[in-house]
This record gives sequence, structure tokens and C-alpha cells, in this order.
Amino acid sequence: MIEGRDTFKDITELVLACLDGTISSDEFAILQARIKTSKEVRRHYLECLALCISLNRYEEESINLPVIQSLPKEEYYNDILQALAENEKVAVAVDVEKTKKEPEPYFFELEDEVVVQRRISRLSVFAFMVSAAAMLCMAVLVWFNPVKPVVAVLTESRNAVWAGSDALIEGDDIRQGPLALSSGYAGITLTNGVEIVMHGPVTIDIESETQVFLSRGSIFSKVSKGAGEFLVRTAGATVVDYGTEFAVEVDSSGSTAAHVFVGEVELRAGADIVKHGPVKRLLAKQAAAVDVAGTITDVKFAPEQYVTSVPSKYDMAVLDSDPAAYWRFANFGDFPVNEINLTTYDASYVGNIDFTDSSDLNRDIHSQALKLDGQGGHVSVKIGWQNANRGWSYSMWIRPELLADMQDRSNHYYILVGEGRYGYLNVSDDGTLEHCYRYNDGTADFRQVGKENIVSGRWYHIAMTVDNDGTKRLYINGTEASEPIEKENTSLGTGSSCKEIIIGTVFEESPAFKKGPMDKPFKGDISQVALYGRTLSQKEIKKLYLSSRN
Amino acid sequence: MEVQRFLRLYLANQKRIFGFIVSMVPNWTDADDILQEATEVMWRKFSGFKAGTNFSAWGIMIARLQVLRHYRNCSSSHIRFDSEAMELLAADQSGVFDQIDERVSALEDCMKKLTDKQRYLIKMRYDKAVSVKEIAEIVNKPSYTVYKLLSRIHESLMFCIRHKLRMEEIQ
Repeated sequence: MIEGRDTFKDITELVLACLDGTISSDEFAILQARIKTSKEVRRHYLECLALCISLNRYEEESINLPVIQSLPKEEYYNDILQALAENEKVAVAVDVEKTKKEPEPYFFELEDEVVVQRRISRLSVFAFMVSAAAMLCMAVLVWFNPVKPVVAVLTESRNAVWAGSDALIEGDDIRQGPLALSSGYAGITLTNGVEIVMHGPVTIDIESETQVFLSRGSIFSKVSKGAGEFLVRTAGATVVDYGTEFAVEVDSSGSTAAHVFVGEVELRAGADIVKHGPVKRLLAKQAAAVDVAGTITDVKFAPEQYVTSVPSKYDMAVLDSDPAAYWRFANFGDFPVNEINLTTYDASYVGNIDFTDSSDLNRDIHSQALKLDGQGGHVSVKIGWQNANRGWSYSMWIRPELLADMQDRSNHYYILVGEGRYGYLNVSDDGTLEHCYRYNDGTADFRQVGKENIVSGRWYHIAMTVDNDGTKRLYINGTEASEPIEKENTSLGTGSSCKEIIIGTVFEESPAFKKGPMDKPFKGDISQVALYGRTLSQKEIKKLYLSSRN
Repeated sequence: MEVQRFLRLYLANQKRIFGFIVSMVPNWTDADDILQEATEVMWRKFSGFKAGTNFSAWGIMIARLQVLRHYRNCSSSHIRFDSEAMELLAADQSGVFDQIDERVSALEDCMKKLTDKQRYLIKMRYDKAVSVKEIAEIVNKPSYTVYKLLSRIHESLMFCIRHKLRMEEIQ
């Protein structure tokens, strides 16, 4: 293939040649250029491939053709020739240069043994010797530096910048040896199934599939049952795993800290696996550190200091938008909401709190969510923006559980977020998302109702923005969902004040505020709550929402 | 049990996944290799696949990584789409490979509309895996003549399949 084909740049022919591997660089460039410039060409290209796949791979199972073997070979080729001839009848005439006749081969026999003296140039000898020496060197290099075995796979990465090596991409094999992540996040899975989460800057040396040396930064390891022995060594300590989830950190002073999230580990002073110093067993929610002198001391378990999973695209979009706080609600039992070090404002769980799997939300979103049972369990966030006269915003994912049939004909209002002093966002049994102000003297109970109803059991991205003057805007799935919400109208403070945000219920009743008779705590799931000390734009909210789509 | 579940889902979606791969790497040999590698990864990660979700989308996500890996390992190959072309092709897959079963079914009827000689040529090329070059040598014709004929037959089949699918949609 294919002299003269550039005179009939037909996509089908190019596809057939491409599949056969006979396409030239120029022809492929033509194919690619046409694919990029025309949707019709792309469609044709894909349909042609679909046809070839159907013919090539699945013919036997679906298409019954005449049995070709029964035809005599000669007849078979004659048919092909006829088909070609028929085609040529209608083909465009092509000038073909006359082929020069090949000269007849010339044979001769040697009558007597003839000694042929061949001259060998010095240049050839020199080139041969240099080549031989080079090959010998390469052989020696390979002998002394054999290719290291593959011990892991890069399973996830987000904004990862690797030092001292080519950029790794997800799915790449990782060989035994050093690995330095300058910045960003990466998740690797060792061949024995152990998962390691790295947040740069961190430097490790994968010594084997069961052993990692940490020289800088921190790593989080998840060792499933059955993965066998796994240990993390540092310059001053060794952490031996017994089927668990734990973080190990080397700080600037050279101390090694181990924090156990689940299961049990053994923390040993000293990097030598066999000869080591004091030993301490650590259970879940315990932590200890080994200093450079080899002394082990208990430290406070601090899960919020460690990244336990590679952030999703949605996480990264939130982080890029500079939130004041971001809570993903990883289930660390009774430990704090702030599981990741992204919070300016602490939050705390109040009442009955549970967690649920949220992997059906989207594969690019963290897979856990807060499960509220409608009995008053909530998350309290003290932000103290009273009289601050500033804009602020929040966003989150929600999945409400509403009464489908409203048998008692009562429309309950489930309070999603209590904000400021009088305002709250709620969702009612009929799926209406609305914002409400309610004062105890009955002077104000104005509701701003969302334009679209939401459905029980489905995830929605909710965002609320507050302008400097207190005007609020509600967004559902990236789109503004109501008319601008009137600001608080009170003499107690400026319109944008907000002292506390309560996720899942509303603030305590006070002389100024009284909740409505049908208001109830929220029932359903909440995930990925982000809080901002500024007014997010519509474009930013849209971007957040879209980052969760694939 | 897990193997059976995997095989059931895999076989039901194999054509779509292979279609995605071959659209990104349009070469039989390379695409076969990539499918094999992707299948191994799918099986390895199958425990992480959530029942009830879209296996085809999950498999294509893994296949996409394998395609990128292939491009990375075969940087010298001239059959190599750039990222813009890959994105455009990935976006336009809908309605082609997700209808592959319907296309195979339509093909069965469309094959009947070919002449015997055309069918023999298709059979020779695909079923007997005789290369175009070999066909050209057998019939002592230039390869481009064989390609031109094959191309014409493919065009006829594509037109027929498109027509049949459209008629089914109308019905």
C-alpha cells in the first residue's frame, strides 16, 4: 500500500489500511486532520470501524455465509478476479508507469576451488571493535543493574508532580525503587493489594511489595486482610502492620509518628527490622512517635492531619475555589468532622450521627456521606460572622428522604441548613426546596420557593450565596433556582450577619426566633459541605457542579 | 461465582469496549493487545465494581487508561491520534458502538444483498484473514485496486446498515 492512494483520499480506504497497519504517516495525518475538522467524517470513521469489528470478530456467531471451502480453489480465485474486473470497469483510469523487465538471473558454476582474498578495511575493524566493546559494556550494565521488578501500580493521581522521573499517569507500573511526589496527590496499589495514599511533598523507596521506606512527608496505608505482612520503615523507626489502616509521618526533626485509624500496628524504634529498640503496640485511634534518640512517646491521634484518599475532581474543584472550610464526612467514628486539613472553622457533630456509602453519588466524589435520621442529629459550625457585613456562601450535596404519599396530608418541612439568626433552608415532603425567615412575633415568615421540585432519594448539588447586603441566592445543580431571596430585615444586625451554621436542623428557639409547627430536622444524606467567606459567582457554582460530572 | 459474574458482564459489553479501543488505536494487532491488558485490569479491579452500575462505562474508563499507556509505550508509532482527535472521537461514540448488537444484526441482512463475489471477497478478507497484500498477490493486481473494491463493498454495507437502523427507529 499504497501508491497513488493520495489521489483518492477516501476515509473508508484509509480506515482499512490503518487497521491492517499499512497506512503511511502522511495518510494517517490526512485521516486525523479530516477527523478533527468534520463531525460527519468522525461518524463515518466510527461506523466503518463498527462494521469492520462486526465482520472481523463476530461473523461466525451471527452471519451464515456460504461455505467457502467447498469451492475449488481455482474457481474461487476466478470469482475474485471477476469481481476485481467488474470494479475496474467503473474505476477511474490510472496511469501506471511501465515496469522494467527484470533481467534474467545469471548462474555459473565454479570449476575449481578458488581462493578469494577479501580486503577488510581498517575502518570496518575499528567499528567492529567499538561496537563489541559497547555491547560488552551494556551487558555488564544490565548484569549489575538489572531491571527492577514491578511492585505497584499508580491507581489514582490528582495534580501530581513527580520529581526525578517521567510523569506517571494512572495505570502506570511502578518498579522497585525511590518515588518522590513533589506536590499533588497519588494513590498506589502494591502488588500484594496494599493501598498507599501520598500527598506531596513525600519521598518513599518501595523496597518490595511488602516494605516501604519513608524518608520525607507522610503516607496513609490501607492493608486489607490477607495482604500479608507489610511494614513502613523510616530512618528512625519501623511500623509493622497487622491488617489495618494507618498513617506514618516523618517530620523535619527526624521523628516518626504513627497514627492508627483501624486495626493494630507495632511501632518499633530503629530502622533495622531485626535489631530494634523499644516497641509499642498501637490500637485504633491511638498514636505514638519515635524521636531521633529512639524514645517512644504517646501523641494525640489526629486523623485530620492526614490525607486518607486521593481527592476527587470535585474535591479539587472545591479546593481550587479557596473554601474557608470543607468537610467530606469520612467515618472516623466519634472523631471530629474535620477529617482533612482544609478547615478554618471547626465543626462538631451533635446528637445521633451516622455515615453512609455515597458511591452512587458519582464516581468522582468521595464515597461517604453523613446520614441524618430526622431526630435532630446535626453538624454545628461556629463561624462568627456577625456584623461582619461580608458576603459568604456554602455548597453541599444532599439526598433527602421525603414522605412519598403524605398520607396524613401534612407537608413537613425538613430543615437542611440553619443560617444567620432567622433564616433557614428546608425541603418539604412535596419536594419543594425553599428558604424561610421566621420570627417569633409573627411579623415575618416569608418564604422563597425554588422553581424546581426535588425528588426523594436522589442526589442534588445545593449552593447558597449571600451578597454583602444580605441578599441570598439559591442554586440547585449549578443553576439559580429561585428569585433572589430577600435579606434579613431586622435591627439586630446587618443583613449578611451569620454567627453559626447548622447543618441538619435549625438553631435554638430564642426570644427572636421560633420555628414553624411543621418544621422538622433533616432526614437524608449530606456530603461534601464547603463554606466560603465570600460570595461565589454563578459561574463558580456551575463549575463546581460540572466538576462532579464525567 | 465472581468469575461467572465478571464473564457475563464482560461478554455482554466486550464489543463496545473493543470498539472504543479500536477507535482510539485503529490497528487490529494493537487494539487486541490493549483489550487483553484492559481485561486483565478489569478482572483485577472487579471487586471495586459496584453492581448495578454501568459496566461498559467502567470498562471503557479502564480501557482509556490502557490506550494512554499504549501511546506512552509506543511513542514512535505513526498511528497515533493526538489528544484533540481522541477527545472528539470519544465524544462522538454514542449511537455507534452502543448499537453494535443492532449493527451486527442488520449486517446479517445486508450481507445477503451483496453479490456472491463480493461476499467471497469479504469472507476471504475477514473470515480467512487473508491480507489485502496477499489477495493482491494472488490475483496479480495492485493492492490499491483491492482496497478500492473492499472500500466500495464496505460503503455499501454501511449504507445498508444505516438505512436498516433508521427504519427500525421509525417503526
